[in-house]
Amino acid sequence: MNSSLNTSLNASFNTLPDLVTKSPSGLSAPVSATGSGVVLVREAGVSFRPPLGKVDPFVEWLSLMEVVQILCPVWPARSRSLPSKEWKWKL
Amino acid sequence: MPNLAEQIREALTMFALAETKPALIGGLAVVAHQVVRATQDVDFLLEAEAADKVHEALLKLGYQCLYRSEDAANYVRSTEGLDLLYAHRPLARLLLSQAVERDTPMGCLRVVSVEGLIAFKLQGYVNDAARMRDFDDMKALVQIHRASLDMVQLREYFALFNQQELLNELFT
Repeated sequence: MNSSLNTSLNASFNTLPDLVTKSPSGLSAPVSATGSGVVLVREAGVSFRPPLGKVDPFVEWLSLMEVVQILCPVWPARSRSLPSKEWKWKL
Repeated sequence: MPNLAEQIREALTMFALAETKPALIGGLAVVAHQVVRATQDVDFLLEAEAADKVHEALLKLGYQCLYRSEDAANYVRSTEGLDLLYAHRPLARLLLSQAVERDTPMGCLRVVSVEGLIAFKLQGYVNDAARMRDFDDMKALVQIHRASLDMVQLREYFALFNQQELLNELFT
């Protein structure tokens, strides 16, 4: 697994932006909300918010989607809620 | 799962051929504004004048049109989806014109401002309260951009939908 993928996995499971620490290499490394360094299942699925301006969120997203594709090769059917006539468009 | 990056690159080429410059809205725009989450939604804000041209181009690319009105259109191609909102009112036109270009791994993408994105999320949520993803996205965007948000602009959007209390809730 490449480092980008690893970063994405960590990012996906460790989510609190305020809990970002500097690794010896100087790169930001997210840590568990508990500070234990252990990935907690209960933290999974929450949006990762990278430090502003420090990483390209699209690169992080592509890495995340790579992981999603590995874990879930067939995405569940899209639930499409099409706009109804009652929709109020104001923008 | 479809290759979303390839789908977006193809859409960008199509838009360029149609000589229009749409802006990202929806889940990918949320990502652009630093809230990285899994999404397969490809949503663009498009100048209304380009609607017919883009419609024809999407059909040629194999998309099927599920819905189309003067405000929006939804397309699918196998498991891929692509949604368009048409900018024909002054606010949407302004937000489209102010969209900022970003270099991304998929190519050069224009992205609506975070305030504009929240406004579009609000419009979706107000029209369909079951769209909790829109609420969650608004909440996350407010949390991360709280210090830099243009509050005058945001208040204007929430007043437009008579949702001032919701704005307060997002900030709590």
